[in-house]
Amino acid sequence: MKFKNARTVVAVVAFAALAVCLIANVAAGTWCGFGAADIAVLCPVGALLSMVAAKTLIPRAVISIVVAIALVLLLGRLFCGWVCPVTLWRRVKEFFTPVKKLEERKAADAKVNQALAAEEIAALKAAPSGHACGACGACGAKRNAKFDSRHAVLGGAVLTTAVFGFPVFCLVCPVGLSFAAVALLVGLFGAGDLNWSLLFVPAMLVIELVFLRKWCGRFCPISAFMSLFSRFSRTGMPVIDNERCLETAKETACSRCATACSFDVNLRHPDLGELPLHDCARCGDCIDACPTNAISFRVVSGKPAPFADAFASLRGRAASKERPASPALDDLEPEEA
Amino acid sequence: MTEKNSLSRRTLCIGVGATVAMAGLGSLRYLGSEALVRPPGGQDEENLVSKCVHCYRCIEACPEQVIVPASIGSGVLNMRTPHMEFSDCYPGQLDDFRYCDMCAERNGGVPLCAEVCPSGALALPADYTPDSEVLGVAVLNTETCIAYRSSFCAFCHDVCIQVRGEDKAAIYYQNADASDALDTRLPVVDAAKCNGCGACEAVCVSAQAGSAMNASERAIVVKPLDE
Ligand code: SF4
Ligand code: SF4
Ligand code: SF4
Ligand code: SF4
Ligand code: SF4
Repeated sequence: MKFKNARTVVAVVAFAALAVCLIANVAAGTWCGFGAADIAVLCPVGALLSMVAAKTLIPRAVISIVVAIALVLLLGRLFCGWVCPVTLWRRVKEFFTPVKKLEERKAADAKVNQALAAEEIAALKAAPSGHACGACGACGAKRNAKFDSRHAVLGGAVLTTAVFGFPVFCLVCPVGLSFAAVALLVGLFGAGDLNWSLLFVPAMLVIELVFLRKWCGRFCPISAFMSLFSRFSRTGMPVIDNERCLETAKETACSRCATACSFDVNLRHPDLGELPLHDCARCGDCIDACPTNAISFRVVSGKPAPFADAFASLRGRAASKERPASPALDDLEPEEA
Repeated sequence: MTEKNSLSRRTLCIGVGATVAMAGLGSLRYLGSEALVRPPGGQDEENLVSKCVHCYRCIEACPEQVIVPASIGSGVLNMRTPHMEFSDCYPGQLDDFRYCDMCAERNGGVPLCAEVCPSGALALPADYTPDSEVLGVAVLNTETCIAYRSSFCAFCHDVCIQVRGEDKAAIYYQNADASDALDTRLPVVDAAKCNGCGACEAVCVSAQAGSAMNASERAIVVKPLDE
């Protein structure tokens, strides 16, 4: 099974299980606060905001944040790839987008990513060996930053919560609203409860997930929180085998992994992704997309290497051998699962 | 370099835009919010609305299923916070109604809702006892109450005795002594004895029997204390 389908199944099962708990009155909670009996953790953003709102330290909230940080250090934004209900909304949106439009978009992305890759490969090939990448600048500008708009939204959430004294962001959080939608349906069909939330909740979800382009990569303060700590994660990342990767082994601009990534990360050229590599959600889409099966998850993945280093590591050998002409990319489509 | 600029410009636009949007939403709190009857431990409004992370665990934990999430219609502060709803019961079922017994039956008088709340939004007072906790007070509307309008009705009076016992029952008949005739008996709530358990509201038959009078709610409804 492809990773994309596998993680959709996981997210559906997780969401459905919690929805059933809501209907059947089992106190499992939601991703906003989750647990069994008196062991429970809060969503780290919710925990942070409720402490800001109440202007006190809440022991369980502090513990929840620590637990969340520990999980993020181990597995980065895995929650985004495999669990978050928004992943499901994104699949739904994809389902309703005309196939032609999706393909066009993919093709355009592929073109951009390949051009960027070609540019970097050309620059590295032209560079004398042992050249210092930082000083050169021929490869074009870094396309992502340590902090981005998501972190600004997280800051705004903390600020407004402090000013207004309640967790304002929670009102519009698409994760919470997904569960609010379930509760509304329970109320509607269970007790015939008609109220304004029936308009507000779907409207908010549509605004965030349909009209705002790229909620996850540009707005979500939960992802902002996770990315603050995932940058220190050295485990569970997808790693490219440079011996097999077309770009390093054959000097062919491919970057299909970057085009496939659902989270705007560029695994091959970390600096050229819309988001930095540490935003990897361990989703595995790149693994499925790689034509030479060069990518796999590693338990201990270590510090990610910049493309220049990966390229340089195989370069000496490339120069000594007479290389065959680059294979035509179309021959290398990954087999359909 | 242009890429960098557009990146930080986007950061600025989104950051400012989102903050303004959230501030707009947050400031709606000053439009006021409906006073709601809260689950046990939720009587400190300030504490509840600031700490509640809307996880719905209290709602799920309530064995009587009398907690529901509030709608945005009752104010942004209230949205998705838990409140008590006793009017969902089919009226007039003295052997099948739902009310808050402080979990006396299921958990020895320790409210399960407050027990599972992970954020401290529902926090029982240190000196909590099942008898000391007061959720609200039943308010009887003499305009819509059947006993006041037409004929004898004893549902709320009887259920209150049923759940609270003779001593603690909060509903008495105003003129029980004045006349033996049943249909002059008028139920009255003794606010000092009522703990807002909701049993009376759950069984009240007025809104159904009196649909002609356009009642928007049952004739006896639990209201928050400070209303
Ligand atoms: S970025 Fe936010 S909304 Fe998107 S998948 Fe991650 S937690 Fe969910
Ligand atoms: S880099 Fe690969 S595993 Fe990580 S988010 Fe992107 S596609 Fe998924
Ligand atoms: S104390 Fe028990 S019965 Fe009362 S609202 Fe809480 S969970 Fe429900
Ligand atoms: S259990 Fe606590 S935090 Fe969760 S919805 Fe209820 S009051 Fe709010
Ligand atoms: S809410 Fe008050 S009046 Fe109504 S049954 Fe309970 S104790 Fe009695």
